Amino acid sequence: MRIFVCVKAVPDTAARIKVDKDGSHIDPSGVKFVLGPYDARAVAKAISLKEAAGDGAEVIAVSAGGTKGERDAKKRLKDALALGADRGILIPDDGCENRDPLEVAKALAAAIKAEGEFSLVLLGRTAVDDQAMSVGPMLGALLGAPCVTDAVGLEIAGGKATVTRAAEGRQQTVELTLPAVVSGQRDLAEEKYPKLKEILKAGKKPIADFAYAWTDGGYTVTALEPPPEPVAGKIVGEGPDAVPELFNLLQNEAKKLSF
Amino acid sequence: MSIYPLQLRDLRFTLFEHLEATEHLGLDKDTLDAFIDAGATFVSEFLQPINQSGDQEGCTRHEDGTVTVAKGYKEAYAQWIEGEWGSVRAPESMGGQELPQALVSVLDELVIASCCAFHNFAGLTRACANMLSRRASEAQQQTWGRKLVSAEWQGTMCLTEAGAGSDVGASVTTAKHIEGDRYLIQGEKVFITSGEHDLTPQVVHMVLARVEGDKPGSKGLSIFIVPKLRLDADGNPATPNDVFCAGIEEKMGIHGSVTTTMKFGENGGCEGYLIGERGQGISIMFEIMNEERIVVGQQGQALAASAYALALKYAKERIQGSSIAAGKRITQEKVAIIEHPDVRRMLMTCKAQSEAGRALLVLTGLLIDRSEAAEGEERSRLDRRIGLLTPICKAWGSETGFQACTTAMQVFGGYGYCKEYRVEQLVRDARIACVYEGTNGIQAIDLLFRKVAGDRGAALRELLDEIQAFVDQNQDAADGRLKDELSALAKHVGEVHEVFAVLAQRFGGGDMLGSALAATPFLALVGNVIGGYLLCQQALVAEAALAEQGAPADAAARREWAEGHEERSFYQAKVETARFFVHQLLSENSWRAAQCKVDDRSALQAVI
Ligand SMILES: Cc1cc2nc3c(=O)[nH]c(=O)nc-3n(C[C@H](O)[C@H](O)[C@H](O)COP(=O)(O)OP(=O)(O)OC[C@H]3O[C@@H](n4cnc5c(N)ncnc54)[C@H](O)[C@@H]3O)c2cc1C
Repeated sequence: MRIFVCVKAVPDTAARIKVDKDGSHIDPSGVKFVLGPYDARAVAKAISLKEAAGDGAEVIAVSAGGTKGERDAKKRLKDALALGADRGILIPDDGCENRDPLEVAKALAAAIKAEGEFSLVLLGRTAVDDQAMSVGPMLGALLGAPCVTDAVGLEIAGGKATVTRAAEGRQQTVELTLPAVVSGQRDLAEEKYPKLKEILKAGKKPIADFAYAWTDGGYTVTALEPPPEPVAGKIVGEGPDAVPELFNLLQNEAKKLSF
Repeated sequence: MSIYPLQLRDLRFTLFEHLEATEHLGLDKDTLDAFIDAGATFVSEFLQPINQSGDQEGCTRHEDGTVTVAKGYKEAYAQWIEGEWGSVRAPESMGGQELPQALVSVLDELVIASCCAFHNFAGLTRACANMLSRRASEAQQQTWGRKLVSAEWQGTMCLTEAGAGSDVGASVTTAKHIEGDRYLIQGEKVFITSGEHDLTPQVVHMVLARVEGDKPGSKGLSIFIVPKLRLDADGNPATPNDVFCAGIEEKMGIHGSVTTTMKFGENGGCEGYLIGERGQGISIMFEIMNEERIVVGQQGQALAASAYALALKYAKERIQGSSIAAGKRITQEKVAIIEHPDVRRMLMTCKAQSEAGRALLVLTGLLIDRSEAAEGEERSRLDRRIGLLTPICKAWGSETGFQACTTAMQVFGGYGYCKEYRVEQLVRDARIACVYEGTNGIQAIDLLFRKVAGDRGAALRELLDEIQAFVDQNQDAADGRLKDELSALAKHVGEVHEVFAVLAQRFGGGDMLGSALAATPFLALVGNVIGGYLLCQQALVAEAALAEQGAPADAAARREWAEGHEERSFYQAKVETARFFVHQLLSENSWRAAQCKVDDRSALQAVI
């Protein structure tokens, strides 16, 4: 069994993001980049599937991304290797920010096809920076494989993947014939922390470069606005006496209540 | 988000840019980075959340002698084992990772800065395992060592008795030979860290005791492995070994760490296993102590780093008063207290002390790594230096660390005295570092009498010559921008030479009492010079980075250029930190030198 996991270097969700002068890129100075949190769960799931499958199973982490500084995708591939992936593939792209998701999906598909057979491609449901949520399904189409998004459970048996997905409060179970593409929610796997030995071993595991001729595609991010600064809280009073004022403020000032 | 912001940028600067650890350690930077990141994640997720609650709850002893640790410790400790963080240092043959000591110093700072009390469980176990890897028999290593390496069992060091504190040789615990390496142990040890608790199923005590008939004093002591539970045929803890926790201390700080009174062999049924040979107890125990002395110095340093981080954050948020630049006028505009010069002085004191301490501790770690790889004259040179630095790491690290914690507390005004702001806990936790693992007074005597007088000043001179050579080489570096600081450093190097000459005479004249009076100021004197040296080295590295980034030469222009840029301001502040240390803290040495040199015997003569 051969499982590919696609991972992306994204800004730490705790980082305070500023927009660059040009108004459409983030200012990376002082921002820490991490392995995408959904991607990290996908890696954890891939490792547990590999462990369950036993001998001969392989997990390959693939990332398209920058090669320098904090955006260096190789560092995030090493995170995946430290969690237990066997080797990595880097598709260098120093213009990765705001890259057309279709281009990303094409590059990943090309890198995966170049490896030959695969059983499963796993990825996070979305990258927490641009939140496009589109690479997974596009990758399914490009690889000609069935695809399911938002998985919270995944089991493999007899050439099939049984996927539980959470959608709008209901649970759905889908059976896919392998090879397949699955994008996962946070609950797909428990959070996994790297073991010290694995961190050290990761430094020695191979990461191969895969070249892709990037184009701009038909997609341009023209503006990026950070969410508004949170406003200071307000204590309106105490006990039942304060309820009318609270109601008033919620309805008329915050406009969070409507009837 | 960290509760106690970790000083990762300066750690990386110290490790990679200043001390160039990648070259010395043969590990690539990405791997080291990943190690630091993973360590930072671990402490932020599992240790920082239990630091305050563990302080408030403390450990509980029950009537049957068992002890329960504070909430959250068990979960954190399970993660510590699971992540293999305990096994960093031990050799692969015992299941360890054989990582360099310099990295252990980095990890220790992260752990202690997040929860000092937790480190007491973990650090001692590691030190016991490392000792066993060097001094125990193969069978002992496999039976006891492996479980300490993995941290599944707890290790302790048992020296202190009611009548044997600083004077370890006064120990009255006895050992009676049964057969082979087996002995019957009897005695009571006090102040034993982690002597009994429910974090691990087994506690393995390293106990100093005297075999019947052996000489009095420390040379007659032997060291034994004394488990809480004896093992069954499969090596699993099975039957009680007559080891009883008779009480625990109520302490000023480190409440999450349990300090026990341990009774061994009250009912004549306590078995221990001799490590090495009879009479080697002290020398073997020193394997643990030397490692722990560095760890304890790091406790001071790391807590200072956390206290500084909390104080800095608070000083930027707390609005109080107007700027003194406006003269006596009370202006409308109120400022954050970081605008007040006296608050800045306090913050810079904490920053400079914690960063100098960090540099000293990582450097000492690297020297240990280099010594392990060296041979012949190079190895003895490195070992001399490590020997000289060990009491300084311990006493200077804990003393300046504690000072920095109280200074940081002062930044908070009245809020600092209140638990909610967390900094008073750091003060209480840091204070013990000046006491245990050999009091700072004992460290000062070790430095002056053994490490300096013991080799007629050779190791000290080597160090001072190195600093002088550094000054001579760099007078004009960075366009002479650090000329004043380097000259001041050289002046203080000269001062240490002078003090040593005076003390050598006193010593040579057999005036032991007069010499001993100077021990503590002498340790501060040498510690400060090393701190100044390391921070000046860092300032030159930072100057080079600033030049590369096109920083203006003029100080005011540079300040403006750096404002708002994280990397620029990091390097700019490194340079100013070295300046501050040399002019404001190292200048203390003129006073310290006077204390050493003066022929004042009042402390000896007073009838008190
Ligand atoms: C929280 C805590 C944890 C501890 N953990 C452990 C542990 O795990 N294992 C263990 O074995 N011990 C442990 N100790 C004991 C600790 O190491 C001793 O308290 C310390 O070594 C000092 O011994 P003492 O308390 O008997 O003080 P004393 O030796 O009585 O010293 C009192 C004062 O006299 C000074 N003094 C004593 N002798 C001399 C001398 N020759 N020259 C100059 N000054 C001198 C000391 O510096 C000190 O200021 C712990 C102590 C505490 C408080």
